[in-house]
This record gives sequence, C-alpha cells and structure tokens, in this order.
Amino acid sequence: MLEMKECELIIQKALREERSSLLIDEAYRICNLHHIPTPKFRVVIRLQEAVERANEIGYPVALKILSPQILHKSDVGGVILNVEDEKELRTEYEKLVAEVNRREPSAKVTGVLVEKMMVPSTEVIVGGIRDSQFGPAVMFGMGGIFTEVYDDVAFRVAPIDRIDALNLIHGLKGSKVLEGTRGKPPADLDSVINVLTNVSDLMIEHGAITQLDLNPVIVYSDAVCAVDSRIILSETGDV
Amino acid sequence: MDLDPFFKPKSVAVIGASREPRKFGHVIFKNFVESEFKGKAYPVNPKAESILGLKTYPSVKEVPSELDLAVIAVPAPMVPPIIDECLSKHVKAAIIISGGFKEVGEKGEELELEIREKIRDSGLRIIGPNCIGVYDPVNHVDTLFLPRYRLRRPKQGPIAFISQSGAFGSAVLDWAASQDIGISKFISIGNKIDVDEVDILNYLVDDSLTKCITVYVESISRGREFLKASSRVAKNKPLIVLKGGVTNEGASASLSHTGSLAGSAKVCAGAFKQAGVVQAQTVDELLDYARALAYQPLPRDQKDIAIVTNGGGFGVVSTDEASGLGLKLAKFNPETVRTLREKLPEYATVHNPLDLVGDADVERYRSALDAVSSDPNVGIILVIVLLQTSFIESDVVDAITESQVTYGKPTVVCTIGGEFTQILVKMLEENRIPSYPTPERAINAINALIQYAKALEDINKKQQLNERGTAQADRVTKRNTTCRWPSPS
Repeated sequence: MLEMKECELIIQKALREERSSLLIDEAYRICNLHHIPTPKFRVVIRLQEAVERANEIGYPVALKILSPQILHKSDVGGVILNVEDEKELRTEYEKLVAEVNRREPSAKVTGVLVEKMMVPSTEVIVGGIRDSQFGPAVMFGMGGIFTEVYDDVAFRVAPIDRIDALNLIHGLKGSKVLEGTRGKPPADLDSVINVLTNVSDLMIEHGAITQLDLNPVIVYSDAVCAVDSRIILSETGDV
Repeated sequence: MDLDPFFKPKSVAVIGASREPRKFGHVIFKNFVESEFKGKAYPVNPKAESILGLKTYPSVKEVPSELDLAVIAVPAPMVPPIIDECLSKHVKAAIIISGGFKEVGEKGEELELEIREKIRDSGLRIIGPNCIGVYDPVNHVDTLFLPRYRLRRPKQGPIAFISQSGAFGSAVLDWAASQDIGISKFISIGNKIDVDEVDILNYLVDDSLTKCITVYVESISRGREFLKASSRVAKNKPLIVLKGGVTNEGASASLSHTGSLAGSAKVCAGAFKQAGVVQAQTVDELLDYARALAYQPLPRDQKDIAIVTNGGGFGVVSTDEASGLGLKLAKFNPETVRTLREKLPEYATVHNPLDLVGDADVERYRSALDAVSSDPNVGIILVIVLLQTSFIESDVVDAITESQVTYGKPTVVCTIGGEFTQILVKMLEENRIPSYPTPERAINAINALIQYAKALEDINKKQQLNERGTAQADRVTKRNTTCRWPSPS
C-alpha cells in the first residue's frame, strides 16, 4: 500500500506542476513500484555526478534528457545510447545538453537520466489506454516491424488475469518469435505475462493515467526489461 | 429486471393504430389481430370509431383493462404525453416505433431526454424509439410494421437476434425466413433510450428457447456492463456479435504510441475475445456462425478436421482455407485407413482430405463417414457434396444426418448449386445440419465452433482458478514478489 501511495504522490506532484506527462525517472519509478523491471537508473544534474553514477551502474550506459517540455526526447537529440566508458561519457554528456539547448532553447532541463544499457534481444510493446467504450485496457504488440508495418497489436480490457494475458500474447501473428527462432532460446513468457497483468493493475489503480507506453520491453530467456516508459496524465487528474 | 411484458404480454395497446392500411399503426395492429396472439389487443386512436372491426379507444387511459405492453406509432412530438398516460395507467412496457428522435438532431435528442426523465424510477421499461420492436414467433408478438408479403416472418427456431438497426434487422429476418432458418426472438433496439443490448442479453441468457444469440450493434452504450453480460451469456450459450462502425476513425491523434495504435475496433475485438464472444466480420458470418453454433455440438478435446468430398477441387480449397486459419486436418489412424481401403474403390486415395471421387454414391459416403467419424483423431467433419453428378440422390442427407447423430461429432456441409441442391440444403437445414455454398464459409463456420469451444475451455479454467482461490492468491504473490529483474550485463 505504501507503493500505491508513492505512485499517487508522483502523479499528484506532476499534476500540481500542470504537467500532462511524467518524466522518465518518475515513469520508471512507477513501473518499479508495480514490479515492472526497468534498467538501473539515476538522475544527475552535473557531469561529475554522471561519472560517479555511471561507475556505480556499470558501462555501457544510456543518457536521456529530463525536461517537462520535451515529450519526444530522441526527436531533439535528447537520447544517447551505448556510452562505453568514462571518456565517452564526458564528451557525450556535454554534447547532449548542448544539442538539446540548441534545438529546444525554451525547454527547461531538470537533469539527465543515466541508465544501464541493456543487451539487445527480442522486443515487445506493452501499453495501457482508457477506451471510451470499455475503459482501462492493456495493449500488447510485437516490437519493431511487426507493430510499425503489420500493425500486429491486440488489446484486452483491464483487469486481465494470466489466461487473458497468455491469449493476448498468442493472438498475435508475430508471437512465434517469442517461442525462440533461429537458435534463440524461448522468451520468458511468465515475466511477459507479469508485465501485462501489472500494467492492467496499474491502469485500474491510477485513474489519472490515461495512456502508458512501455516501448520497447526487451524480452530475455529469463527476464524482461522495459527500457523506455511514457506515462500520459489526464488534465483534470481523474477520469 | 424482467422484460417478460415485451415478449409475453397478456394485453397490448397499439397507439396510433390506423385505418389506413399502409400506415405503421395499421400493420402493427393487424399483426396482433390476425395472428395467433393469445392476449387482448386494443387499438388506440382518438379519430377513429373502430379498426378492423374492433372498438377503438381515444386514449390509453380509456382501455378497459390493465396493459402489459403499449406499442407507440405516432409522430415523435406526440410521444411524451403518451408516455405520461402510460405511466398513470401503470403500463409495464412500451415500444416506441416512431422515428424523429436523436437520429434527426438536437430537437429529437431533447425529446429523448424528456422521456427518459419521465420514466426514471418508474416501473415502465421502453424499447426504442426509432426501431421496429419485437418479433416473438412463440407468443406471436409482432410489432414489425412491414407487411408480411414484403417481410416474411421466420418460423420458430433456436437463434435469437438483436439488432440496433431496424432496416438491417428486417432484411436479415426476411432472408432467414427464405432460408427456413428459425428464430427464437427478434429485438430491434433502435436508439436505446432505456432497454439496451445489455438488458436483452441478461434476459436472453435464461431464455430456454434461445440456444444461440446473434447481435448487430453499431455503438455499445455500456462497455463494461456489456462485457459482464456477454461473459455470462458465453458461459451458457454462444453469442455472436457483428459490430458495425469498426473502422479506425477512433484512433485519433494521440500523444502515446499505444493511443495511436488503439482505435475502438481493436479494443472491441480484444474485449469480445476476453468475454468469449464470437465476432462476425460480415453479415454472412453472423448467420453462418449462428447456424453452426445453434445446430451442432461443440468439438471436444480433439478439434482436428476431416474433410470428405466428391470433388477434389473443393477439398483442396477447403484444406487451404483451414490451414490459412491455423486449423489442423486430422491424420487418420491406421484402422481408419484400412477400413477406407476396403470400402472405397482402388482409384480413391485414402488420406485427408478424403476424395471419394466424382462417381461416389450415397453408399460410399455412408461408409466413408462411418469410418472417419469413429476415428478418435477426428474432432470435426466437413462433408462436401456436389450434387451435380447423377450418382448421388437426396438420401445423402440421411447419411450425413445419421452419422452426425450416431457419432455426435460436429458436422458441417458445403454444397453449391441450383434448384436441386437448394432442395437438399433445406432438408439439411431441417435436420439442423448447417450447409454453406463455399468452402471458405464452411471452414469459417467450423472455426467459429472451435473458437467458442476454446473460449468455453478458458472460461472453465478461470472458474476453477477462482474456485480454488488461486487467482486471488496469484494477485497477492504478484504484489509481494517482483518480476525477475534482468541481471546487469
């Protein structure tokens, strides 16, 4: 219940500041509080701090700009992936801040997120929405080309149980990929199911969240990790 | 909540009953008078003395008995005061046939609000407005204002049909009648001022005459209640929904990726799957699926298909169609193969799809169906029978029906052709063996049987989980444990 309370505090703070979306560290925190794994992450405001935190987390790391005015970080050069060591971090950190300042001078940068760079694997998309007819709903899609080109996504209305989650996964044309192809081991379906049921709970528990994106969620043979998270809030704070 | 007065009224007033034969009120009143309707029907019309020889009453209030049902067919602005009269008369149910409400704009919408306000907290339930009401072939309630020579009424049967659109409903009814397809109840819900699809589903779930429910809706007014009602129905009988207006115009510009991928159609499809609803994508599918699900038993654990045909081409197309949908053809067991080799001529190849070859007669069908139906590897049977050859007589219908009844396996027929074929199609329909004119439609109907069987298996699994309390326990552990966290790499 403490977890619920912390989530609500994060949401209320954002609403007080009249933000319609959460910063990525806040979104990650809410995910973690709902037992949805994310990469290890730290928020820093100075280069020296970034160096220290990156050492703790371990290279390679990713850097993501934090600004309430920037929703689509990569569109303004606000994301740098695969920073391999301290030397690279020092140059890339300065470049990141300078680039965002140049392209989005009016945006107020509140910090930089340093996060563990995860090893690539099969990617899926998990999302949450509020449908006008059916209310809170959970989305699942196979990542990359499956979603973008083939529109291979499906929904279930929250709350969902494990059977619903499994049917949701198996209903997709691309879900065969998760069974392991071309020598890849099968994906950790159990953890994918956990993410889906947890997102379902999350959407039901927090009425202020209108949309949620975990895009992508990287799926390994023994774990999953949401490596980006976007949470959109309703303007009024409740739905 | 009880909708009985709509379907089993002991007394009905037709308000707006007219002497003019083409007027809606006239046709509706005539339906009650000239059918075997057992209750009393009263015409209400302040301007006429008598209609069809029966004394007319100037208002509902003057009708000399209690009223279960009022059918209202007067211009929209006249409806609210009539509702007042119905309320003071304690009428139990009203069907507002009249158009001119929400569908014509703001003025009409105001009228709807006015009526809704009037009936709030009253016992009066309303179907409509802007609808064609109810057709119940058992109790002979028929408020369809379309004359019988234009819209033939279907006979009694196992399929209930709910339609939001009156025109869609009447066209399908007329077509169903022409195909000898029987209906248990038909309800056109129109603008859904009060009674909506959720209410009707909750009513029909307990209706023993209804074996299968079909629904055409454009808008679902109470999404979550609809889900609850449809899962309750699906547990008890198949529910097939054709949802109109599913194009993704709803996927409006959106801040998140998920939002832009959503669109009401996909959420709707997901919701249907979750509830165990079989979704039809076309008008054909709605009744195709309904006939398969209403007439045939469901496949059990074994869901592989055997195809028996006298035309190689249709067998091939059916096989392609099945594999396209991810359905499996059965592998005959050795005993079946042995029997078939014995019974079939040498030039017939013994595998699935089983081609009995063009000179197949009824006897050949009979032995093939016997062998295939008793094979434990076979769960569902598709019989393709092309009646253009002179080797086959109409007793092939008996052969198919007998093997279905004897072995209890779901059986679907594919046959296409002219007048001779049509006679056999009707015989099959009479025997509750659904037949389809193309392999695609037959395989799709089989797919509907499989889908619903699987949905029921899921529903039972969930129920078992809930009964053991494990579903609940599962939620608790989930709270306390984490997903496995990825190890730093």
